[in-house]
Amino acid sequence: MSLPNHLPTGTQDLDVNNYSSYRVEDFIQDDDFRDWVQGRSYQEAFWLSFPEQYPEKQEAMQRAERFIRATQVSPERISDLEIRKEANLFIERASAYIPNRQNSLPDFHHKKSIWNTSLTFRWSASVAALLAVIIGMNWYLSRSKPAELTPQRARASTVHLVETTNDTQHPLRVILNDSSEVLLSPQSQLRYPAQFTGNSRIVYLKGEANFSVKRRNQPFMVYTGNMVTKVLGTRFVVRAFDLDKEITVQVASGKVSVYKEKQRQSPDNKEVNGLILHANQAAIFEKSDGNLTKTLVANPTLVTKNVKEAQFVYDEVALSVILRELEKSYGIPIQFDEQSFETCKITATLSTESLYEKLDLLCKAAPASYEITDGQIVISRKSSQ
Amino acid sequence: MSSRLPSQEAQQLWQEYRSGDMYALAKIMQSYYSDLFHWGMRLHTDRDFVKDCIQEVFMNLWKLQKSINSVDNVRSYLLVVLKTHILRELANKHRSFKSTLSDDYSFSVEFAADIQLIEEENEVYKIRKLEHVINNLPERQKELIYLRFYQDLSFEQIADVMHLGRQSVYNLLQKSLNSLRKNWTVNTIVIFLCLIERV
Repeated sequence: MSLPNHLPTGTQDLDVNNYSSYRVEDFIQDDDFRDWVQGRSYQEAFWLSFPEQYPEKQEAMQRAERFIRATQVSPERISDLEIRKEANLFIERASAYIPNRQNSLPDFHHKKSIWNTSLTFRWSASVAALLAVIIGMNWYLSRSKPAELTPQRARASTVHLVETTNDTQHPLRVILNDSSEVLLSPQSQLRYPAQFTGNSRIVYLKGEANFSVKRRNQPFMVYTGNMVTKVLGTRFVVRAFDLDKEITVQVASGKVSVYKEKQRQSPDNKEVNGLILHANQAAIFEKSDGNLTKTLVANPTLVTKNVKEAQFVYDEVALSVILRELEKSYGIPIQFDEQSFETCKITATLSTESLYEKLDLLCKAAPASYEITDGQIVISRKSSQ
Repeated sequence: MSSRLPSQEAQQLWQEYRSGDMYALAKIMQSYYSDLFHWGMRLHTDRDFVKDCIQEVFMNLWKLQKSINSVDNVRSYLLVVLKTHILRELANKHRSFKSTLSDDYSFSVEFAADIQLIEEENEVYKIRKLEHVINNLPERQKELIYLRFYQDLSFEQIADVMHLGRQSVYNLLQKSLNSLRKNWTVNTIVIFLCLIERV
């Protein structure tokens, strides 16, 4: 087939010019677009604002998204522990294999049962050596992970929930049985099942914790009083101390949905029941009136993979261009009137400043002002005197 | 399967394995185990059988270490080897199987749409409908979609894994196109066009 091939080859290549000719198949083959649909993109804002920038591509984009969603396959249930066991079994067998004396060895092509019964004394003679190897291997296979602390206080309750309370002054690392990691802040408590079963992974939190959730098809849910945070696999922080007036959820990467556990609302209640948060966005739940609002995290971090892109060095660059770049780098939608900022040229180096410091400086130069509304940044021009 | 071992790191480990490092091979096994296991289960849904086959494949690699060459991509090479091994084992088990090289093996995959964060009912319906059509495609075509989108293989690699030449992959796609024209609209045809484009 001689169809033109104009696909970007890698995820870094987000050259805007390509997109105007994008078709359904191009979206589908775009690794970064696939990542975005699956909630693990570094270009959140880019794809979020895509339909606005290319309104004629919206239909194709939707179809591609549908196809990607429809072709998901559930993973097989095999735990990291099981995999490690298999790797250790391999080491065991491979170390017993002596290349130049093949004939006297058990035949590994037979089924497991045969293999077990055909253990010879050669094996028992090498057991001691094997043990050392297995221990070494365990270390080898796990050394890439940071050292993990043992929970301070872990006990199984009647409903098979393990309860871990952090009484120390330092964050405590808890590894759940699906390999998700939880960094439990001091004075906080996490209750979780020793083994996740059923259709969802549910944990209960009091206080604050930083979650790195392993992506699985069963959603991962954090219950904090009346508020539930639900994800498939991502990094985020939940803060729900009893004494605080509000519960907050801050998202580092991926997509998170936050909602209230029960609809105990009066009929005249118009507030939102649930929110979807993207990277660098946060939700605040007011315990007193049950209000759920969307805002930004205190210190947004870069979400772009491409370090080159994130230099923030500008020489006579239009403010509108700079703002689009910030939007892309931090994955936060920025709303402004393109035309009124086109003529405003900026020369600045903003590589060390935080996002808010950057915005302060840019607004001063423009002059303009910004506000955070509904998880977005809205910039408006100040009328010049 | 969020983060696979990058293929360059796998290449490095493969070199170390070929120069006699057993732990490098074990590390490769551990890193790609879930992909291999998933693939094996598509060919024969018996956990213990698949686990045994993976052990045997790696044991053979270890035994044959001296005669194993460098490979273009470690993961797709392992998928090929595992498939050959499983089909051969199945042929031994049931004598009736004629040849392991025929494309007459069974491949079972169930596409399960991800609609977790979708709120609009109409959209869910559309996705479900597409899921249904894809699930009813012939096995070889589903295998192709699986390899492209679940295992993230390139078309070169798919041709290898499916024991097909480029021409045959192309023919397979043509066939699916024709059948899809009958029961589906532009939507899916377009998808297959894009697959052809990459062959």
